[in-house]
Amino acid sequence: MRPALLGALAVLAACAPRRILPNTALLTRPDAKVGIVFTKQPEPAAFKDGIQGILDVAINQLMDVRLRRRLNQVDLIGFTSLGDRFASELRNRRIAARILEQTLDLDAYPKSGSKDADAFERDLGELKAREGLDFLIILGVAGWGTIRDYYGVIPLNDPKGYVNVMGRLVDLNSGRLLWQTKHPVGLSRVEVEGDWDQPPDYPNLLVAVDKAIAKGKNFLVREFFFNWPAPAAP
Amino acid sequence: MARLALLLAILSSSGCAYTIFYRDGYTLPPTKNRPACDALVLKDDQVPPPHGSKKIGSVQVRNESGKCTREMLEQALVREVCAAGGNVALVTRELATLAKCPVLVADLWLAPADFLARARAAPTEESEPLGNIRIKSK
Repeated sequence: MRPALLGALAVLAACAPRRILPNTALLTRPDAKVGIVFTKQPEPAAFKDGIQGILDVAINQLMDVRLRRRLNQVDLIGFTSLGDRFASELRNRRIAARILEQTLDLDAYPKSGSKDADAFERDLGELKAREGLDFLIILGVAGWGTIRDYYGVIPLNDPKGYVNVMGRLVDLNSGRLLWQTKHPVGLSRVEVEGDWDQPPDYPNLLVAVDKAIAKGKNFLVREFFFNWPAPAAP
Repeated sequence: MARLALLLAILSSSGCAYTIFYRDGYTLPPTKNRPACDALVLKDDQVPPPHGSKKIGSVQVRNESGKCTREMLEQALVREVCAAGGNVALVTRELATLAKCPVLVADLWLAPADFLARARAAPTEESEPLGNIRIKSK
């Protein structure tokens, strides 16, 4: 059998965290101090899914150089508006949440060392003390840009807009994860309307990228707030 | 390999003809008189799979005539999930074919009684999707 790599598929799927449905009972405590923070946003990329050997990956990288050049000119500016949306939905539920200005660099915090399945991977004690928070909602983008399926060097479809978002809620007092979700692979893609192959600007493809980001934001809102009772009428 | 079985072909007066394939070995006898029920068609990026609910089948609804709108296909899903004794059709994939005829792939669920109310009370999707990215200034 010819040696093969799972390529981007492995990158996208192997580290998928266990999904934990939201446990939001503690947030409704009157004295709960809740913060919302974003992780650092990655650079855009032209992801390649499917079975590819090392040579295939190299060839495929050469073939989409113009697309990658265009993606490198694009900034992700709208994801953090999700913080306002979360804060607004929480306010509707009588929970005051503060959006932290600085992005969260998880690598700057020590590993928790706990073997508890629900324990958060990092010890955020320093952040808790600094910000005076009990709970932290962590929102982030694991990857964004475009994605295309390949079999070797053969593209199986047209590129699509792509985002991979993740969300977590950490109880900073106990270090437990109260919510964890990540966009399932395959549900985070948006088809291009019209022709996609429009170098050098790829306008239709970028619209699909934009829509994918919106889709990812909606996904996190739904994942977090779906199981709550409807907000009280004003 | 998922076993596909052609069960039903409906030709309505509007010219919309669609075909429903059941997957995963699930079969449902064709019925002309579908019971009315309060079923919901959801997309799986809108909601997670409902808690405490039971998956009762998977279907693919194909637009055969090219004259079916997405709404018509969703209505077909509502009828199918009702006939199967469920209340939620979760669209897991929407395939756009070359002829621009949509194909809906959906799981049929029987969800707890309060599920529909919660689904309807959940936040709605953002209506303005654009503006999340911008071209860097040179």
